[in-house]
Amino acid sequence: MANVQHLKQRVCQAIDRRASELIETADWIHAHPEIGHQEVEASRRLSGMLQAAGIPVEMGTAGMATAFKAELGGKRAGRPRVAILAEYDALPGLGHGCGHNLIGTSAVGAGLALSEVVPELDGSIWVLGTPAEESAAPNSGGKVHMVNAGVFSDVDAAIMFHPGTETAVTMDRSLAARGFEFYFRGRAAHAAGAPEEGINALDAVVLLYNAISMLRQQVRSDVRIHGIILSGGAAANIIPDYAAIRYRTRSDDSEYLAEVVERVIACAEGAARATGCTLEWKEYMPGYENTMPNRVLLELMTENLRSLGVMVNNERRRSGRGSRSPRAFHRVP
Amino acid sequence: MLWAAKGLAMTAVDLLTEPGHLKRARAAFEEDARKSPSPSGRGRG
Repeated sequence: MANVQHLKQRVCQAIDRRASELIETADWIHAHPEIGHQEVEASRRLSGMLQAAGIPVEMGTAGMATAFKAELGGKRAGRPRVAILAEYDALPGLGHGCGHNLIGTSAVGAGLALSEVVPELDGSIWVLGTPAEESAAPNSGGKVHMVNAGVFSDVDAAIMFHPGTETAVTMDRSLAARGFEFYFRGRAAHAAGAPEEGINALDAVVLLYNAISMLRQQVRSDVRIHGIILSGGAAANIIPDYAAIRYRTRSDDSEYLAEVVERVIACAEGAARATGCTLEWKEYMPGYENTMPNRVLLELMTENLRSLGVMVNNERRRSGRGSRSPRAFHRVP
Repeated sequence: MLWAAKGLAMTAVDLLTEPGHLKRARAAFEEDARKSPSPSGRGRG
């Protein structure tokens, strides 16, 4: 087995050689934002870089058109297997405000570098392109779909990075999250001529919004509940017979989150009852569990970054950010 | 981003050259899973 330090030196040199290409790729993806499950060009570009280096790439992993899996086999291909996770979706209306263009490019950069040394390693590496991780698109959560398809059953460790305001490797967990839409239906009436005939669905939405505003004081401080009104009526002189609101609830504790969800739904049921509206609701996104950072992997990453001269913060801090690697981290370190 | 790529690649090298790392990572993972839902033990506000 080649000296480990020499292998690490070689992968770093490989990344340095490709620095211009990687920066250009990240910049290009940033300039051409695509939202979840529509990352056609980003996935093509990233997977194309791997293919151009002779790395076999499967497109459409787990039934998602913009997902991919690149396989780098070592001298004893198969297990153990490390997956490097790539995200590349953007936020609607905002673009790559979360920096997923950097996540995908860094993962591909690592994969390209490792392709030069993997024949000397025991085991294999996957670069997994996981679409729709901003939870902003229907049917979002690329990793969730991959977990459900059994992709992570063949992985022994999964690693990735996420951009932030500082360089940190900490045991802080990102939050579990569940998202709901509530649809209230009442009865339309002329708001001036016969308001008493109406059942105001917008009133129900407002009541729910205010109930949740009060609920925030009565839940743990790690909880976040935030939402937008999806529909609030068609005209000011018509009592709305339909209104809808979307909420996302988060906590760093999946079990406590379930309790919070029950209380949110109770707020909605109360709003419906108070106004005389009917209520329907649904979860509009796959639920995300809180991440479970792995201290062994974090120690290795910290040591490696510091060996490069990078200042790394290991202090714990609260993270309000949503989970990025949800259920995968409850299946594999 | 380049530092991240290097860190990821170097860590992958560690994991596939020293089997003990993955064993310890799995042990830590299973210990945290047993302690779930609050393995960090952080106090609540």
